[in-house]
Amino acid sequence: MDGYVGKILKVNLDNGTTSEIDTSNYVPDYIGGVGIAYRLVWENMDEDLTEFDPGNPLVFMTGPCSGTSLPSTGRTEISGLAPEGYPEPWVANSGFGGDFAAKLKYAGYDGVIIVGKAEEPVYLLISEDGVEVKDATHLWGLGTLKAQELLARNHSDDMGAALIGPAGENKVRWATVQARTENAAGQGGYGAVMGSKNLKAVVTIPGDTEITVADPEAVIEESKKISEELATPNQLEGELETEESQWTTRHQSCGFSACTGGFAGCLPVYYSNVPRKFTGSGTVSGVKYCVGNCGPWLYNGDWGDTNTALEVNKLCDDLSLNHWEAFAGLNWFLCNAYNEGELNELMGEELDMNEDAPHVYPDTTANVGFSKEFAVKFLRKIAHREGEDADILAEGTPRAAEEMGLEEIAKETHKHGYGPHWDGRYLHFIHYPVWVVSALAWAVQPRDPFNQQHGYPERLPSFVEEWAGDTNIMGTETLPYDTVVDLAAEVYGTENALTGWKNTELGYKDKEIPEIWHENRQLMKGSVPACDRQFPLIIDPREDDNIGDYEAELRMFNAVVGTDWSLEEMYEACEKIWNVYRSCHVLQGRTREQDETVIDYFKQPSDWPDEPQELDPDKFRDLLENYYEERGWDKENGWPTRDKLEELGLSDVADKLEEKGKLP
Amino acid sequence: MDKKENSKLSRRNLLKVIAAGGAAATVGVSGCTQQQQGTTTKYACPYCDKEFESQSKLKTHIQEDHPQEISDIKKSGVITWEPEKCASCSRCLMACSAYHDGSISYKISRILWEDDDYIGQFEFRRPLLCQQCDSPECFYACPIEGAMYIDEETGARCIDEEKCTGCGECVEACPFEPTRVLMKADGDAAIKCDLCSDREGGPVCVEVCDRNALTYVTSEEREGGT
Repeated sequence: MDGYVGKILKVNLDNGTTSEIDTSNYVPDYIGGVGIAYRLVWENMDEDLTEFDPGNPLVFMTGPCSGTSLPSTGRTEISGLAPEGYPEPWVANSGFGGDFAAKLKYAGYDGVIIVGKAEEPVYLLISEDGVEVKDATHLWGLGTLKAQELLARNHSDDMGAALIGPAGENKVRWATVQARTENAAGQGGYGAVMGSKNLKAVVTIPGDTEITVADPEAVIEESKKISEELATPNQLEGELETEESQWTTRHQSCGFSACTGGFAGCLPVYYSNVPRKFTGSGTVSGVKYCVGNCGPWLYNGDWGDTNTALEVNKLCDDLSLNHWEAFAGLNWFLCNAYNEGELNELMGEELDMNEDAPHVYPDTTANVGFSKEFAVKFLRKIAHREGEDADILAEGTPRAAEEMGLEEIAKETHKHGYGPHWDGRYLHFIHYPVWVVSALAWAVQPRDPFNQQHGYPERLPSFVEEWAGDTNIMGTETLPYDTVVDLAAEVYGTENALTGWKNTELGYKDKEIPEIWHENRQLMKGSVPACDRQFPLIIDPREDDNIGDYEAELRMFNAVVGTDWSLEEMYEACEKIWNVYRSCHVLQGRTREQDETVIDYFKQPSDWPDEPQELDPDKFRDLLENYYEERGWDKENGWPTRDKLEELGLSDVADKLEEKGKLP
Repeated sequence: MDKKENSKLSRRNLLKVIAAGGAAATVGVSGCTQQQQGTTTKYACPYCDKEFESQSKLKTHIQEDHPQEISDIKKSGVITWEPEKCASCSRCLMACSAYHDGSISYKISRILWEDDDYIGQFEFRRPLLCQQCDSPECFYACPIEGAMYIDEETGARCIDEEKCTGCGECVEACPFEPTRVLMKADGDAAIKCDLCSDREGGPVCVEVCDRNALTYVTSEEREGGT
């Protein structure tokens, strides 16, 4: 089948054996990316498996469009039991862009699944000449930057590599899997899974494998058309801004970390040769993007000092520490603990934290008040688990809070183990009823859900004039709230997709519909794959009808694979994948009770701009039930039913759940 | 005849060089702006028995004594690349192989890809494009009649994959490092940028580059020095 290169590599590090799985067993039903990854995890897990068991399957998957010219498709998706998950290591996912996916496919594999644990540090070398498990003793302990330099020297500059630094090696539960200087799978703690397997890196050498595409002309046409839709007009025109300053050269282009098939809408800023002031000698180069910019939240809020922000950012990348938890998760927890008088000293230093923090975005002066020097020491010590405090914090916020007796404080900032993200608190300032849908997403998902669902809480509100002003952050025209409500009704198929802001009674009504719509889309994007952040094509004021090209990902898939799926057929595939994903969680012990724990999280007072400010537990429980019903799941436990699973062709999944007593 | 027996500087071949070279009728001068490979050591006139010490003397001799032998080779269009606009997404080369082969790989793209340095103080990962030389050494080097040709409209120096036998002379003749003429993995034929001369809408790489880092300069524009 076009788009896939046909094989998934399976490696068992217990004995160094490798085998191959036919990709055709899974496609087109599971699409690729997270779709296949979740299915592989399901097939390789049981209810007793824990995150650091050698048997935890660590899956790297590409999708059919990876390695093609289609926009933002250079993504690799990772899944497995996630060490960052809490209280259970819920099976989750995290992805990264760049060129690793393309290079894995050019080496002949659509994906890699790794089980077992090597006795000594190793790395995996994949090429058309064979697969080798190689000694990595000389790389162990090195940061990701130096380790990649050595790997490239030993192999070639056109390699692809996904690897860990000290944080991953030391099984820090919020360690990333890093690729090049910029790309990382952040959430989930999959770097710690690599560390637990003594696996330093996965290296792939591109060979002669070609990715056939079913309709080359359509691929070319869509590459162009979709890129234009994704980019705002000011991104398409003119030269990239180049700005020389004393130390940095800024390109509005990353130069070397763009996704293969990237496009003009993706504009990180590249800094070269920035002298290190706090993290060592010499210089550092690279890109800051999204939360990677947000080091100032951890230290003193000095947003004008971009050099230090880059330094701290690159330090995290080198250590394989997750920016999100460092700058927008654990830091808020520590600040709350300090302000409640529960924490005065850390890593041998008396704390003098910001008594006003944390605030919510867009008050960017919010910060927890560490000095820059202490921030650097804090990150380094955690990555190396140096000293008792660092060792505790390396366990991630909720587990550290347990150890410190501060569980209640951790509940203010973390759910399922993850910090705030597009839920209206701390970082992202969103209106009622947008956060009601956020709450539902948080309830039923294993991690912070908006890595693949920016569309609802971020992009949809950005088109509302009353909330966003005349133009939104993309430089696009905005529309009156009532108009967006009408457009949302058309897109989502329910008139209540965005209702509630004016008539608060409607805030919970039919909100399971947009949530399910976005769940389908997160799977489509995660599987095709495409970048969620760059595919906001729901509303588009540049179009005559103001509706975005939300079938773009589907057309990409069809053009490459040669299918002729309708959006409905795509969503059926997504529903199947979602049921496998949920079944993984059910096997791990997920019930409605865990889903409902988000109620407390969303009941807290907040700085939401309008009434009501808190989640109404009764209305939310009704919404949750409507969601289960719409999904065809049992309302008592939130478990998929046999009927639903069989309807989706998943009777094997139903059988296994029944055997474990997890079928309603 | 076995293609391998054909010397790069056989009389037949050299004839073609001189005849096609026009004003730059010397061996080894491509008219390109980048560094050249070493030139040949022979400066023998293909039309008589005379030999010369330098290219310029040979050129003068041919212009004066054999003017009837010189005809112009059409100048080609070319694709130019501006690094300050490039995001290194590599979609240009992916679209290139999608168009030409219906499948995608760095190895079969007519655009080469350079990873300067995997990590460290690097500038760019970047596309390397055929310069469609005024005096195309690849074209001259080809020993098979019609396997390389000059596209009448665009002037692109093209390979006819049906006629090409994969001898590799053109690959070696390219004055650029790395060579912009590639051998297919199966060795059956060489491939190179043909400016998508048969494609309505022009070069596909230019079309898909949404940052406009690639520009198609036509032969006429190039002729005019723009």
